[in-house]
Amino acid sequence: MPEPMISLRNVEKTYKTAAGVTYVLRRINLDIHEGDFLTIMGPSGAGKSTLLSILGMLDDNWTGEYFFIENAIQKLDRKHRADLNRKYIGFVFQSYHLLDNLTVYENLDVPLSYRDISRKQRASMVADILDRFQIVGKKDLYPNQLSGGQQQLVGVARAVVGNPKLILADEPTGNLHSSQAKEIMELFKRLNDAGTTIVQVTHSEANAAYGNRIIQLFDGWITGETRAGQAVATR
Amino acid sequence: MNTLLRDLQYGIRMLRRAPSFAAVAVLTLGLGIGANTAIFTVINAVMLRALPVEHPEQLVTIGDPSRVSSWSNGTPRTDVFSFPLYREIRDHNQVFSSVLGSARIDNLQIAIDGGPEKATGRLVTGNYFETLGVKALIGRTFTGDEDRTPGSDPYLVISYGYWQRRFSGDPAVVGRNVRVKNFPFTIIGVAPPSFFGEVVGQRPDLWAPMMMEPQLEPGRDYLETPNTSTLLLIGRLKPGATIAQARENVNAVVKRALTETLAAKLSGDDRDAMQNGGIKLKVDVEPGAHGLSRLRAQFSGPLVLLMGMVALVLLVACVNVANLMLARSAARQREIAVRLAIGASPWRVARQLLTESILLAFFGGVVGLLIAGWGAAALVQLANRSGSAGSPLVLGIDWNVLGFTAGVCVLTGLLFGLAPALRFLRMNVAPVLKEGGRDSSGGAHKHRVGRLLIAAQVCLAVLVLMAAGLLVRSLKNLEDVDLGYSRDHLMLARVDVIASGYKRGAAALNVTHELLARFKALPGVRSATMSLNGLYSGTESSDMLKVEGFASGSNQDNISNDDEVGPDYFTTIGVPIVVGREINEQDYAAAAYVAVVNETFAKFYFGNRNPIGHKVYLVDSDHPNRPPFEIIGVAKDVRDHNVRDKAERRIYAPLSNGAFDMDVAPNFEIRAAGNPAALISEVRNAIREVDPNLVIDNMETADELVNDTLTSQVLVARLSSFFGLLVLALISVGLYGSMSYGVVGRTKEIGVRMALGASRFDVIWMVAREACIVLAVGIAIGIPVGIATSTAFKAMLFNVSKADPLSIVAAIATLVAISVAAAVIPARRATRVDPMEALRYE
Repeated sequence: MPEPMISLRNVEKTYKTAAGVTYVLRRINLDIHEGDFLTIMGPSGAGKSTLLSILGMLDDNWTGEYFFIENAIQKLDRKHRADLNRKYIGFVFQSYHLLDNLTVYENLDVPLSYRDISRKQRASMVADILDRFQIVGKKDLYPNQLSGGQQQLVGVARAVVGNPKLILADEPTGNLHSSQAKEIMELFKRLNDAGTTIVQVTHSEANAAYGNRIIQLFDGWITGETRAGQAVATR
Repeated sequence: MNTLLRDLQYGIRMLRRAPSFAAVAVLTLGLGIGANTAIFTVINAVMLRALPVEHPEQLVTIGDPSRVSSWSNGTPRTDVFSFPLYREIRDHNQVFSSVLGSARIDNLQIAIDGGPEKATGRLVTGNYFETLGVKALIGRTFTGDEDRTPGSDPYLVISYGYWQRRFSGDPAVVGRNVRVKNFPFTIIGVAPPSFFGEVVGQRPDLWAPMMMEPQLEPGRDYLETPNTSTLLLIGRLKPGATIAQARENVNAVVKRALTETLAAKLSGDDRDAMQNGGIKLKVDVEPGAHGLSRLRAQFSGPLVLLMGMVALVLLVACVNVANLMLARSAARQREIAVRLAIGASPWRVARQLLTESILLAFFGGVVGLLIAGWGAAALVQLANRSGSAGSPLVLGIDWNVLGFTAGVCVLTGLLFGLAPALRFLRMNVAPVLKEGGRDSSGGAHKHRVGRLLIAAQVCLAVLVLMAAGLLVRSLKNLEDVDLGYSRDHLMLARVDVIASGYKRGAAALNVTHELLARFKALPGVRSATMSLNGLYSGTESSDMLKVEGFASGSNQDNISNDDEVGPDYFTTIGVPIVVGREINEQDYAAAAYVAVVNETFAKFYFGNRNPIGHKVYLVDSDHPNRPPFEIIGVAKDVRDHNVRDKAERRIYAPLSNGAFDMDVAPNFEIRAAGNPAALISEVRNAIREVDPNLVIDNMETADELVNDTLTSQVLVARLSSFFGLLVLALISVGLYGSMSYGVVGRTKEIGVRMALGASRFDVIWMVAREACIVLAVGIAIGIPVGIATSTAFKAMLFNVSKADPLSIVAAIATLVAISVAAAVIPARRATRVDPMEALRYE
């Protein structure tokens, strides 16, 4: 069995309030291998998005151990975490989070501009992704000139333009109607088939079915895991 | 580079998308940067800009570079120089490749086509242009030969501006004959356009050789006497020579000249004075790249103070924009979070935000440059309002000004951009993305930073308003100060009878008497008199005296200021005689050796004794048998030369006895029955009737003359008031914007409170209380800091304490009024919202 791409050991996240300590995540132990398509499910407030943020290194305030491609994240400072994020991870958000003041082309260029990539090469990479996602005709439009599905398509394109090893998607179809959602999920599936590891948060069983693993979260605990064709109770 | 360009492009796009924000921020910054650039433009012209000559860094000034229009007749001086002393320095120094001398020319009149016209010019030594390294645009300059024989080189070099203005740039001007002060001269060349001379703040129309002084200042031959000092000197250092070496060498040359070479030409009194330290032998030698300037001495203090004030104005503007940026930051939170999430490093985001801030500041800088062009000209006009501050300065935008403005822009951009940028550096990305960009975690922090910024702004405003209050109060005190005489209805005229061709002694005195008689006979004149130094004439004289019954402790004790006056001098200018009587017609007609002394004189020499009847001897080795003056009266002290300075001891004697040398132009003091300004043309006509060739030096009301001496005080008081108003305007906008934003953010809270029963007053008070706390903090810090900083300009204060209660109360009251208005208006608006609507509001 190869080493997992991601390994979480006893990861916990808490908030201190006047009433005491509130746990958001409890003793999370999780391995994710390269090529996995993992779905995180659970009711609101279970800690799904928080777990995704920790995986994406957007959240610094947690305890435990997190190994990402042999890097001990808990030992890294913010700059080095940002470096890893930039190199290996792409994000897709429920609210798309495209930059309103930039065109489609520019939105796709932004993540590349944060890497050490020449202008010429960036232009080539953006042109390639526009072509792959068949949105060349939309490249000069601003986000508010696109439909929700088109915006999320651009959001996914932006996530993959830097050829990440891992895509983290937080309810990527939450704001889309079913046909658009299906289109996006099929896109994820194709990316996964091509070797990209995907972790998604969703409430949708149909979306979860595109993946090969599902973990259930409840009140911060992992309460169960289902692999394609089998169920594993963890608590 | 690409990244920077992209940041700039994005910044421009962001500003285009928020035109209202951009307009308010650019205008606010434009006002702040403009005020700074305007003051700096003047500072640059007065204090920083090098003379437009060859290698200005090699030049040194010799003497006091502020005495550009000085004229001293008496013991030799070493701050301005006589021509013989100049010659000694020029010929016997070892440190200069050449040394130039220059002096003023009074009442210059030039006849070109017809009658005489006014012009300005300076007398310069023959090596003037060569020393400065200035070549003629057309024709030639002086060659140095002009210094050999007095009166033999009647040549003029004219300035480029005068050539354009008066001769329409005609190249045939070279060789043209004109008459200057009725003496024929030939124009030999035109100076280059950039050259305005060696005196900052003056733009002479022409330069004439020093050796033509007897022709241009008739009756006063200064070329051979070491007792008349009119020249300021500039030397060009030899390669390798240092300022220290020059200082040492010049001092040695001057000492040798005054004690050996020129000693034979000095009087016994002067030689004695040299022996006992009565003559200052130390000569100042300083870097001369910036030329000579009286303005520098007069205005450098006020300009530095104003620079400090406008820096505060800019800080207030920066705080305003920082607050605006903070308010906008809520809207940009999501954008920044997304950028961080897709791989931007925090530093990269901060750099982009700072690039946007600096871009905004640069747009503000462009607006500021436009404002500064107008502002600097207005500033100089204000300083020149009396016409006494010299000719126009060479202002304009040069690399110094552009560099300063660019530097201010960058600094400004960093200042107001830093707070929002730092805020984003600490941003927790996950919640922002999760909540779709709603301001969740940063709200409290942002409001805290916002409140801190407003408190800082209030503190800055207190500083500016207190300073403005102190300066305005000082000006008022100066304007209201008891000068010791009545300046209402008083007109002063100065006629240079010697320059008009009258010989010293009887001829000069006779025409003076004739003029006085004419003035007295004019309708509307209540009385008239005359004096040599008079009131605010710019001339002063002092002599060594021996006072009967006074045992002097030092030589300095025997020196007193003096004046020669006409009959009824004290009645005419309105000075009360406190003991005895004044010099009357009989004393004057008899040329009696009587004198009136002022209170300070009486107290110094006689203490509580009555000085009447005591004798005062004028120490004059040339006239050892001159009778003593008998004191016949004590006059009240008069602030006759400077509003600020207390009176010094002074003795007044009749002008008719000629005890003191009448070498300066006499002043006439004319008391009018009505408006003194209305008399000016009558007096001018009377002078013309006596002799159309009489040279009138000056003709003004006493009020105008006194006000002229307050030019720099008026300048700082007016400008500080203006900057105070500017700060108030900025702070009003800033407070209102900030409070409005805060109230809008609390609409939901206000709705809840109102739904729970809060009255409108409760809500208004809730908002106003917050403003009051911020205000109190700002004021509490501002007042002690304001008192401490006022020490820096205490020299400009007059009869007002640094902790002047009126200035402090006025500053506080103004700020409270503005702050309450800024807080209550948005609060009142918020209370008009339907609670249910407010609760639905997000």
